[in-house]
Amino acid sequence: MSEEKKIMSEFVGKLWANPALAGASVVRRENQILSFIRENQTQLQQAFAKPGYFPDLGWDGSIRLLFSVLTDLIVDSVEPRLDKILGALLNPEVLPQLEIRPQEVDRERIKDFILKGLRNKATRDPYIAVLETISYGLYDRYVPKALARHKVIHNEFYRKDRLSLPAPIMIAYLQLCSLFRPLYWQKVATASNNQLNLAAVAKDPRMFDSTYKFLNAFLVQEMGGVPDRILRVGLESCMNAEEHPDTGGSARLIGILVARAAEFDPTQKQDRGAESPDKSWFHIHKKTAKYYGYDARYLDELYQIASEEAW
Amino acid sequence: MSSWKKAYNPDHLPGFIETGIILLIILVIGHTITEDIAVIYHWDHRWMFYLTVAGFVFDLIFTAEFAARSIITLKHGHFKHYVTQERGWIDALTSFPLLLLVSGPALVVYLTDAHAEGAFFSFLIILKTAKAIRVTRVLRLIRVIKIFGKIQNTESQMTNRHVATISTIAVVSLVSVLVIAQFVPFLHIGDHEAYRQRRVSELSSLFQAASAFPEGVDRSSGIQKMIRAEGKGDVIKIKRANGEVVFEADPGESHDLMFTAYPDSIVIPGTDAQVNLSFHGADAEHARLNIIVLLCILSIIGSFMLLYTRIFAQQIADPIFVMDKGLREWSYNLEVRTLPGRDKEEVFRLAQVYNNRWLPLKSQIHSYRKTQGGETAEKSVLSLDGLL
Repeated sequence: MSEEKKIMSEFVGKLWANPALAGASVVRRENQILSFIRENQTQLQQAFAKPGYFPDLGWDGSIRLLFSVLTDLIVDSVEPRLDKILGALLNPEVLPQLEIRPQEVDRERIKDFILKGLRNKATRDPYIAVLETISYGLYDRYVPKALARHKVIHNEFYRKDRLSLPAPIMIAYLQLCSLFRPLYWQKVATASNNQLNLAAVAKDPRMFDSTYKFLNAFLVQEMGGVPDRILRVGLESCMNAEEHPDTGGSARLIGILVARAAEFDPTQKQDRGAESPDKSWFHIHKKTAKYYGYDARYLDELYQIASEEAW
Repeated sequence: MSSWKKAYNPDHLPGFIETGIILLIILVIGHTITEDIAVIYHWDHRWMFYLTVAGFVFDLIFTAEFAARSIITLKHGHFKHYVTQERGWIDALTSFPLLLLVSGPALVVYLTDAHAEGAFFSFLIILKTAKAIRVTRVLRLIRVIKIFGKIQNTESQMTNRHVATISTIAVVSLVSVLVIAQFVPFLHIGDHEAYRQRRVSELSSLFQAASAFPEGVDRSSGIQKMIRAEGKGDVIKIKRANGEVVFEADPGESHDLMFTAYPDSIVIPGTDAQVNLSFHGADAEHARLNIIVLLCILSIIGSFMLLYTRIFAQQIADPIFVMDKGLREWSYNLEVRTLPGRDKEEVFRLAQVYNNRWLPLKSQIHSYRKTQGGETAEKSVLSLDGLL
């Protein structure tokens, strides 16, 4: 490792480990560091130009080095979690229960692809949100309760998605589908050599289908392909439920829980006089379901579960 | 002193002194109860003297405390605030008036020759005033309320202030009634004149009963036995006009009773005898009333502190705290917990607006800002200190 990289690693490490960010998610830490750089640019420019730092790199070079080191730090901190999740989901015992042949998925290539996606800011945030949804156990928390209630969520799974899985398998299914949710923002080359992602063409059904085919071909090339129904559910979870009423039940739930995970703080204390964090979140987003494109009925049911369980 | 002026301490005095004062307040309440018990059970004069000395010391300390607080607050220009907002008037009422009108004169009388004529009379006047004012000592309990706020883990200043206010109103109301009752004849419990008349009437009945004894029975001896059987212990001496002593209390008892004796001997109606009577029985009645009122006050204050603090916090202070935090911090999105059946109350109506309008709006604003400027639009909590 070069001397400059060592110095930058130490600098970024101090920011990363700052007590003010104790308990913060990976995404929040990164964004706080970026805000810090922006707010203190003048002082940092002067400091980095001094001997002992990066006098030869200039400001642009220093910033590129900083982003590179920061990205490495983020990927290194996320990789063990990713390994654990892929190990739990993509193993020969679980896949057959999801009606997926183990040969259809290549764990190592999927891992490498996700790690590559984590290095790109546009797909990093969505990937981390998905991984945090799984790590925080939000599926484990709500799916069994929702299935047991035999209400909206259960009915949507059963009637729309034709799924009648026991709770543990349903959880694995949703977790696996959610891993491919960030591909909604993955840019792929189209026939006209444009770089497009599905997010850009979501409102045009023909363009969407066309771009989806190119995405599929891209995935076959990059990670040996992904079962179509798994991929579709992951991508549909990013769509506005109001604008796309055909969105499947599983996709609607994934969209809501991943959004919850993005704002979830496991260290948050519930103040006296305040409602519990999940209950508050579901109630607020029920009021703004149209704005965010969530299914209000799902939010209502999740709110009731959170109320009963004081989550 | 000069360092106190520079760094103004809202508690006025150093922490260890404030703690000491709280302990003294608890001790003085115990002393007040003990004094009343001593009156009820007519303790030995020696113990009454010790209690009087202790009362004097307490009143002296509290007078010095009030003087110190007055000086400090005057220096900082907060004297009026101290007196009106921080219950300085209670400190004033429970310090030098008690020293000058109760414990001070009582100690002087004890230290001088209390058997002297005239001293009794002065003592009587002092005691009458003292009885009226002494009860104000319990107002010092209000000062103890603030430590219970910490026990309850109620950091809400509003809660502590409101509980202290209603406790003060309740206690002052009770004490005022007790003081006013001293001056309303038909309400005055422990009235010396009424006691005198009642006892003299009872003694007259005893003499009448004795006159019905058969011939040959020693009437004086019979009267002595009847007086002792009464168990009131307030008769010092009964003497007939011819000088015959019908009854005399034991010398030890007599010495103590002299401190609470009516100044003149009293004629027993229908007889030729006069009685030297002690009014400690009347004082005992008044002391019982004092203890009952004190226990009422302790119970009221205890209930407010233990029960009402929690209710006030739950129904007013906590919802306001959550709303305040939610209005100040962008990242704080917990709803206010509303109590069932209280939807029409002002605080919970406000909480509903906060939950149903402000929080969803805040969420949308926050989301919009993120789409416009990215998450980096949020101010950083990191600083350059110690970094470079």
